[in-house]
Amino acid sequence: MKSLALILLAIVVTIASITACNPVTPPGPGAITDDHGRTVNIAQMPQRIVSLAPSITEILFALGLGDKVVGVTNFCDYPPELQDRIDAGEIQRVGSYFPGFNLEIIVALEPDVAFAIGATVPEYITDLDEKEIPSIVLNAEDIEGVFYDIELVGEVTGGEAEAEALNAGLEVQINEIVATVANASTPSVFYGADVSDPSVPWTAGNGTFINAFITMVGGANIAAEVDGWTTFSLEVLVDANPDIVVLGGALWGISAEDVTGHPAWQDLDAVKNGKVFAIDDTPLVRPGPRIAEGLELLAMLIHPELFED
Amino acid sequence: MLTRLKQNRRLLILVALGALLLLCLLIAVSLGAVSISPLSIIKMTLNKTGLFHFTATWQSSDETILFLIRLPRVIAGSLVGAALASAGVLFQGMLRNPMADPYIIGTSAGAAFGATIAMMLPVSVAFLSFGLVPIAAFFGALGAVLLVYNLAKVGGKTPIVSMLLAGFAVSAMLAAIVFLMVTLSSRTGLLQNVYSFLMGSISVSGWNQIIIVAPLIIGAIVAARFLAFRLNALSLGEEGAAYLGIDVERDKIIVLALGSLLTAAAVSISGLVGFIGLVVPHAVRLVLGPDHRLLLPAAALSGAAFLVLADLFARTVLAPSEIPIGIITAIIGAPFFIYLLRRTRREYAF
Repeated sequence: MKSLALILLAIVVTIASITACNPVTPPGPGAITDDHGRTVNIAQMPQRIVSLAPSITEILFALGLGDKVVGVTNFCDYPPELQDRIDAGEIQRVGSYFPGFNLEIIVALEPDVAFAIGATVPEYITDLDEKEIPSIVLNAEDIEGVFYDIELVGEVTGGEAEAEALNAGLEVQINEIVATVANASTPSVFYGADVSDPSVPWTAGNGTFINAFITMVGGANIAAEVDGWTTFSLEVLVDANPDIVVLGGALWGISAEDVTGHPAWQDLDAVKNGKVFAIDDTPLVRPGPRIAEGLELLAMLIHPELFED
Repeated sequence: MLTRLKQNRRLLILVALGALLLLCLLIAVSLGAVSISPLSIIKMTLNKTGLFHFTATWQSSDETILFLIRLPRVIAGSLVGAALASAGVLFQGMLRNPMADPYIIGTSAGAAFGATIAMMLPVSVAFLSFGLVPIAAFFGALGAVLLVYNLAKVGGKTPIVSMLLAGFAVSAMLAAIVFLMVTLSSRTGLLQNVYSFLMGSISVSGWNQIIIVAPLIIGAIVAARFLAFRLNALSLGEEGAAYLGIDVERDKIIVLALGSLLTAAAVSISGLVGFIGLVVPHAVRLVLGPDHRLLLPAAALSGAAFLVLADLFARTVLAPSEIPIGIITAIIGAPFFIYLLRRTRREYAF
C-alpha cells in the first residue's frame, strides 16, 4: 500500500516536472489544405520553421516569425537581419532546389513545419513526409494568390492577425499605385529577364508575375503573347520598338550598358531616349511581401511623371 | 585525261554545293520572326550599294532587322557550320577515328569552362564590343587543346590514343568544374546561361564579331585545303604516311592547330552546336567518297548550308521564342544521316 502511494507520487512528480520543463505548446490549427490540395495536420503551433524558398523566408520575417525560423535556402537573402541570425548560428542554410536540399540538415533541425513552393521537386516533399515533417506547399500564381499564401502562413504559424495587417497594408499600397496610373498612357515595355547575351535576350511572358505587374502599372508588355520565361527574338523586339526597357539582374552585374552597346538595340526608342533601366528584380519575381515595393518601382520607371514627389 | 575529268567533276560538285549554299542563304535572309517582303529586302539591299535610291516603303526598323540582326546571324551561321564541318573532317582524318568530332580533344569543355567563368564575373565589360564570354570561350577552347596536346606528348611524339584519352580526361575534368561552379554560384540564371551555351545558339551583335571571326574561319578552311594530300596519306596510317615522305608529327600539329582554331572561332559565336561537326563529314563522305581534296571544301559548304537552315528553324518555328540550335541540328540531322547510311548500299569506306 505504501509502495503504491510512492509510485503514484513518483508519477505525479514526473508529470509535473515534464509540464514544468516544457511550457505548454499551444495547439496548432489542425488540418490545413495547402496550395497543392494536400491536407496536412499541424497539431501543435510550430515553434521551429524551415523555409524552402526565398519568398517564404520573406513572408515569415514580415509576419514577425523570424525568431522561429531555423532553416533557410542558400538563395534566401532578405531581409537584412536574416544574415545576422545566420551569422549568430540561429538559422542554418539547408541547400537549395538546385543542386538540392540537404535532408540531413533539415531533419537535424527538428522543424515542426517546412514551407515549400510549387517549383520544389516533389521528391523533397515525399522525403519530408517520410521523416514526418509536416510540409506546406505554397504556389501563388497571381497577386490574389500571394495574399492567400500570406494568410495561409499566418494560419499555420498562429500569425493570423499579422498576416491580415500585412495584407491590408499591401492592398492599400497596391491600390494607390494602380489608382495613380489609372488614366495614364500605356507605353510599351520590354522586360529583359536576362540580357547577359543581348543577342538572345530572355523575357517574361504571359503567366509570369512580371507580365501581370507591367499590365497593372499601365504598361504594355511586348512579350505578352509568349508563355512564361523564354528567349525572345531580337527581330521582334526591334520591330515592336518598346518605349521602355527594364532589365532584371542588377544584383549580379547587369547594367543598361549591356544592351545599349549592341548595334541592333541602339535603334530602339528606349535606348535613344535613355529609357533603359537595370533593376534588382527580386521583389518582382518573389511572390512575397515585397510585391508592392516591386510594383511601385516598375510604376515609377514606366510613369516617372506620375511619381515626381 | 582521267585526272582532268576528276578535277572537272570536283569543280562541278563544289559549284553545285556553292549554289545550294547561296540558295539557303537567300531563303534564310528572306524569312524571320518578323516578316519583311522580298521586294523590300531587294530594294533595301540595292539601296545599300549606293547606286539605287528606292523610296522606303518599309519601316526604318526593318532595315535594322535585316542588316544588323538577320543578315549577320545568317552569315555567322554559315561560318559556324563551315568551321565545325571542316574541323570535323580534320579531326576525323588525323585521328582516323569515325567518332571524332571538333570537340573530341577538349575544345568544348575548354570553351564551356572559359564561358562559365566569364558568365560568373560580376563585370560585363564589352571588350572591343566583343563581349567577355566569346573571348573566354575562344581562349578556353584553345587552352584545353594545348593542355591535351602536351599531356599526350611522349618523347617528341603524340600517339593518337594518348591524345584521345587525354582529351577525354581533360574534358571530363573541365566539365565537372563547370558544373561545380554552377552548383556553388549563387548567381541566379547562371544555370540557364550555361545551359544555353551548351545547347548552342548563333549569337552575334551586329557585325562586330563577324569582322574578326570570318577571316579566321575562312583563312583556316583555305589553309586546311592544302593539307588534303597529307590527310589522304594519313588515312594509310602513320607509318604508311611516313613512307610517302610525310612528316607525320609536324602535320599532326598543323591539323590540330587548324581544327582547334576553327572550332574555337565557331564556339565563340555559337556556343556548343553539337552533331554537325560529327555527321556532316560522314554524310559528305558517304555521298562523295573519302578523298579529302573534295571532302574538305564540300563538307565546309554543306555544313554552312545545313547550319543556316537549322538556324532558320531555330529562330522561326516557335517565334517570337527561339529554340537552341543544337536541338535542331540533332533532330533534323540525325534522321537525315540515318537515311543516308541506309540508302548507301556499298560498305562505308571511312
